[in-house]
Amino acid sequence: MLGLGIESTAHTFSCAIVEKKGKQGKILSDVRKIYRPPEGEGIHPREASRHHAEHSSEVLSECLRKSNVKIDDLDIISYAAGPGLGPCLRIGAVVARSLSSYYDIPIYPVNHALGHIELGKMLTGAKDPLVLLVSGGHTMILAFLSKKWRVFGETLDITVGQLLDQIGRHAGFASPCGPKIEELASKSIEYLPLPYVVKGNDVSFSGLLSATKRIIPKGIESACFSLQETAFSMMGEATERALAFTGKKELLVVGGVAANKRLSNILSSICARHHCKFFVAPKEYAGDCGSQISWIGLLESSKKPGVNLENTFVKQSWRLDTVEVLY
Amino acid sequence: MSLECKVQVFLNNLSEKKAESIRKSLEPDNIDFPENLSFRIEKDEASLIFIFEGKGNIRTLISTIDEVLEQTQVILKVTS
Repeated sequence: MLGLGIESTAHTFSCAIVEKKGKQGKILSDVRKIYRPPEGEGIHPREASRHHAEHSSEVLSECLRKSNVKIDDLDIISYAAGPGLGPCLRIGAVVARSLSSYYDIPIYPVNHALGHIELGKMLTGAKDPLVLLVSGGHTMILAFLSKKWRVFGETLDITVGQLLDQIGRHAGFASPCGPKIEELASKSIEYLPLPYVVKGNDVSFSGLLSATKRIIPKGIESACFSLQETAFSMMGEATERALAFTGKKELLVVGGVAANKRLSNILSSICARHHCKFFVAPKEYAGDCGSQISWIGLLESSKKPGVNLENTFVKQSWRLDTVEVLY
Repeated sequence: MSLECKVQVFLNNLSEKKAESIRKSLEPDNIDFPENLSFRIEKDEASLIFIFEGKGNIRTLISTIDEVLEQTQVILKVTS
């Protein structure tokens, strides 16, 4: 079974074709174009959607060409219906609807965050993990129970991806700033005290953001090092508590920030203490991509038919813990 | 006194299939519009007519027209 997935929730416009055979998935192509705001500036939803509109047909053509698949060969089309930025979501939805309508292919609106998790499971082989979803849109600790991903901890304000991006932009870097902060942090071992806020099993980063901005003049490398150590230790503490509480024997990290090696180091040492297997999404597929959308569409198609075009919604604030998982 | 505007955009020489694809692709997002702003699509033989109506903030009307036309262009490109 062949599925086309269209991702357009934020910076990235991506189309991917995934083949599903039984329970196995194989990514045939995954093509992306990423909107880059000017240095020091954040994402502007309308500008990002213009970027997506401009590149949509070129990305789709390249995706089909690389996979050697024709549109008529597709069994389903899925698109990221949320959560995300309204104008960006609408471009992905319009591309999916037009293909579905014109070529008469079943269509599936899917949850972007769920895509991160299920693609991570598919690529790593994790079976029943506790999941840490860390990206520009999410900071969540989740476990699956009774047809839904349940939240065992999350951010109370900004996400860890926003934290890194806002610090990076303040320092004049171009978004996404995570890799640059990681590179600078690796050049220092000087820890400058920063606020460490874990409330129950939730974390709060807004105070850490303000305090890190204040210490940047003391040295950008030590500021980045201290920021990473503090933010990742906060998430590590909450994750360790969730591991102990749920008794899960696997931990899976997904989302754009999963590519950070220091975060993986902290989490893998926690897993070692709990005799738990540690999985991290491959760097190439940790961030936003069409494959995550395509894979969810394929999983859903095994349990339900596509939706009518008039019901193909977009929902900017579509929480993962409201999605019923039937497969 | 606030300005009231009605803008009609005609898409001519469309095949029945393409016109239907455009309509079906745009209509699901035609919800939760701000007050004093409306958008509807009508069919007239080989034409599709977009009718935008706005009262008050003209920028909102212009932004809506801009976004809908951009999406229409995307639909025409990916189905060509």
